[in-house]
Amino acid sequence: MKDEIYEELESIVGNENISTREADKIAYGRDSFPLKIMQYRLPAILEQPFPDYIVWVDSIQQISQILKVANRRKIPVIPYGGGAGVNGGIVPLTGGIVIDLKKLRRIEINEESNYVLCQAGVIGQHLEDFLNKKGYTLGHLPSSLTTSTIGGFVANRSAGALSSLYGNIEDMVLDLEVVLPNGKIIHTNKSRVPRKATGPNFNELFIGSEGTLGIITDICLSIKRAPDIREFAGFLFPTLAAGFRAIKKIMNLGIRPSIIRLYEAVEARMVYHIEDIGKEQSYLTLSFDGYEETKEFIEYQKKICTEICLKEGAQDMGPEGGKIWFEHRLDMYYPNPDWIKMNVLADTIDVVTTFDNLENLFYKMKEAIQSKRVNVMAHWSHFYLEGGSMYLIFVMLEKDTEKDPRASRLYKDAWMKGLKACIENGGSISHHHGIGIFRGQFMEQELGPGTFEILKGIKQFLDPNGIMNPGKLGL
Amino acid sequence: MSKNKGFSRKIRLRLEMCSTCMKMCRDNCPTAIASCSESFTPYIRSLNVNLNEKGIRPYDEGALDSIFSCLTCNLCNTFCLPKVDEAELMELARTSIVESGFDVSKYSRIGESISNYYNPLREDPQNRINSFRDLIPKDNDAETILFLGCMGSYREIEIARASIELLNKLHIDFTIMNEERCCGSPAFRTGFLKSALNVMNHNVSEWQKREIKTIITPCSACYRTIKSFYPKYLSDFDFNVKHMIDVIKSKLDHLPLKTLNSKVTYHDPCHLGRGMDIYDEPREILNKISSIIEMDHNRDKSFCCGAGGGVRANFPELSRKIVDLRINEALNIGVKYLISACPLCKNQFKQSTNIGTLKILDIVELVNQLL
Repeated sequence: MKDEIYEELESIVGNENISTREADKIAYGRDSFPLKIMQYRLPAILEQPFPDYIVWVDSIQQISQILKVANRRKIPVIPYGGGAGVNGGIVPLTGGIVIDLKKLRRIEINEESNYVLCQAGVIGQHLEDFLNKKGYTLGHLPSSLTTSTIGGFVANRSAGALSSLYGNIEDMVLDLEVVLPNGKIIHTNKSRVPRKATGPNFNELFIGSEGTLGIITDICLSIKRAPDIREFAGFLFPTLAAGFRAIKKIMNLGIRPSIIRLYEAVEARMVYHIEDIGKEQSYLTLSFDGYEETKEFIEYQKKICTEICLKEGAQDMGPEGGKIWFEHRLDMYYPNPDWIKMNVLADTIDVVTTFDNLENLFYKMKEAIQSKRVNVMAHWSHFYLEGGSMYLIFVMLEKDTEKDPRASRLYKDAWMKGLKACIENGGSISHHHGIGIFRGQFMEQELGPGTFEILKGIKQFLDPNGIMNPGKLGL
Repeated sequence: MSKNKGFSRKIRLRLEMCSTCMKMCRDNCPTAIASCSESFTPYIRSLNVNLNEKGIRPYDEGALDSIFSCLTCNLCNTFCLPKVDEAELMELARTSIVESGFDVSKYSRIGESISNYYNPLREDPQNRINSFRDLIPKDNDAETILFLGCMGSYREIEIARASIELLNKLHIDFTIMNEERCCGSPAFRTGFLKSALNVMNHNVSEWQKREIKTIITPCSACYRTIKSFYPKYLSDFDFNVKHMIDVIKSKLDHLPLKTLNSKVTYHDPCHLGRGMDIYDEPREILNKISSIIEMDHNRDKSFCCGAGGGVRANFPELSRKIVDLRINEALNIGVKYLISACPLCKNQFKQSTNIGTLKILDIVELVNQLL
C-alpha cells in the first residue's frame, strides 16, 4: 500500500525506482558481515531489521530531494553502494530509506593532471578496468574490489593490498561531492588541488563517515601510471619480532614495497602451505612495483630488502609464495562447501598499532579471544614508518539453532573481548574495515571523551535530526 | 499451491553457498549491472530459492521476479570459484515453481506459446517454412536435417536462407521439415518442462520417422538443447548434432572464401560458448575472412545479449538495457561488423536503439556472402 512517504519518494524517482516489497527489503538487509550472513541461512533472517523503502537514484538532485523529505519527516536514510562491508554498516537498524547509488556510475579521466572523476556507484573493479585500459591504476585493491563501490571505499576509509606504496583511499581522494542531510550539495576541495593551506581538510571529515554525515556522490581520485613490473619476494623468519624488525628497517630506508605482509605461523602454514613451520616463525611477502625505465631500481630495492631480511636470520623463500598468494588472494572470500557443512564462522578484527606494540597487541588479543571453541591467527598487512595494521582472524565451528543462538553469542563475545583487549593495550579498533555496528560502543574510548564530543557535535550540526545511518560510528 | 518437492542435497548445498557468498560475481552479472538492483543478483536469487526450500519464506512476487529475471547466461559461473552453476539452479527452481502451482502467469507466455503454437513467437506452426519454401530441396530423403529453430524460421529469415544456400554450396544433402517444432529451450529455461518435453518428443519422433542421422542447426540455443539436454531427458536419442559452425569449420581449408576489408568482432552466444565450450572454431572461421577485434567481454566472459532465460519476454526494459551495454562494447572498439552465431542474439542486437552504423550479421550469413 502506498503511504504518503512512498508517494513523495515516488514523485522524485518514479514508480519503477522505488520498492517496498519484502523480497527487496531482504535483499538490502545484509552486507558481508559474517554474523549477518549466518543469520541469512536461518529463520532468524525474518527477525532482522530491514529498510521500509528502497529507492534507486540516478542523479544528485534526486538524492538532495530525498534527503529533504527524510529530514522533514525525520526518517532514517542509509546510503547503499555494493553492500560489501564486513561490519553491518548498511544494516538499517531502525528501518528507513535505503538509497541505492549504483546508477551513479559516470567516470571521467583527466590525464593531464593525473586524476579521475568517479561517481559513487561505480564498482571498484570497473574503475580499475577503465583505468588499466588507459595505462593507469588507482593502486587501490581491497579484497572487495569486485563487489564494493568507490563511494563505499571512501565512506568506509578503505585500504588495499598495495597500500604500503600507493597509500590508502584517503591518500587518493582530492575532492568529494557530498549531499548533506538538509539536501545541500557541497564540495570538500572543489579546486581538486593536491594540498592547500586553507584551514582544516574537509575531505577527511567525510572519509570514513560511514554514511552518518551525508551522502558522498562524486569523488575525485588521484591516479598513477599502471606498473609494468611487479616482483615478489618471500622470507621465513625465526621469530615474529625478527620480521617486524626487518620491515621497520626497510621503511626507515625509504623503500616502499607495494605489498608488505607478515604472517604468524598458524596463518602462514595455511596460506603458504609450509607444513614444517615452527610455531615461533613468521613469513614475510614483499612485492615491488615499477616500470621498464626503473627496472634496475626495483632490482636494487629487492636486493637491499633481501639483505635486511637475511641479516635478521630469515631464509629466502623466493618469489613463488607471494605471487601465488596475490593471484589467489580473493579465493578465500568465495563460499567453501566444506566450511558450510562444518558451520565455520570466522571473522577478522582489523586493528592498528605502533611498531613497539605490534607483537604485544597480538598476544594480548589472542589471549582474550582464544578458547577451546575459538581459534585465532593473524597477519600484519599495511605498514607505515611508525607501525602497521594487524588482521586478527578468529574461527569457530558453530551455528545458531532456534533454541540456542550460541554461535551469535560466541561470535559477539569474541568481538567484545578482542576490542576490549585492543583498547586496553594501546591499539586502535579499526585500520580499514570501519566501525559499523559492533565497534560503535567503543568509539568514545577509542577517540577519548573530548574528541568523541566533537564528533557528536559535528553530527549534531550537520544532521540535527539524526537521520543519516543511525546507530553507526557509535552515533 | 502444493509444496515444493525439494531439491537434492547437492543442489541445496549449492544454494546455500551462493546465497551466503560475499557477492564475488556482482561486477559481472548483466542483470545486476543493468538494473543496479541487489534483487537481480545471482546470490539474492539463490537466497530466495533457499529460503523457500527451507520453508523459511515462501515465494512471493518479489522473489519470483528475482528468480525469473535471470538470463541463465551463467556469466557469474565464470567468476565463481566453486562453480555453483547459477543457470542450472535457476532452471531447476523455475521448474519446481511451475510444477508446484505458484502463480506464474506473469512469466508463462513462453511456455504457453510453445504448448499452443509449438513456438515461443505465437506464429502459425503451419507457416514455419513459408519464408524459404522456394529454397527447400524437393522429395528429399536425406539423412541430414537442417533444424532452423523458431527465430530462424519466423524472424531471422536471412539466416535461414543463408544456411540453406550455404549447405547447398557445400554439397551437403539435407532436408527441412515443416513439422519442426521449437527445440524446447525457451520453455526449458523458464521452467515449463512439460511444454519443453512435448516439443522435444515430437521432434525426435519426426526425425526417427524420417530415419534422420544428423541434425544441423544455425541456432546456438537449439544446438545446445538438442545436443546436451535431449539425451538427458529422452532415452532413445541417437543423433549426430552439429552447429553450422562445425560444418563450415570442417570444410574451411578448402573454401574459396573472399576476405572482408573491414574489422569484425565476435559475440560468443552464451549457449555456444559457456554452454558448449566452443570458442575457437568461430574465430578460426572469422580470422580467415578478416581480423577479429575482441570486445572487453569475450569467450567465457562474454556478456549476454540480454534475450536469454525468458528475460526479453518477461522483463523487456531490463533486456533492452542489457543489449545496449553489449552494443556499446562493440561500438567502443570501432568495428564495422558485429558477428554472432545465434539468430536470437542477432535479433536481440537489432532491438538496441544505438546500433549506429554497426552491421549485425550471423556468421552463416557472412560466410555465405563471401563464398
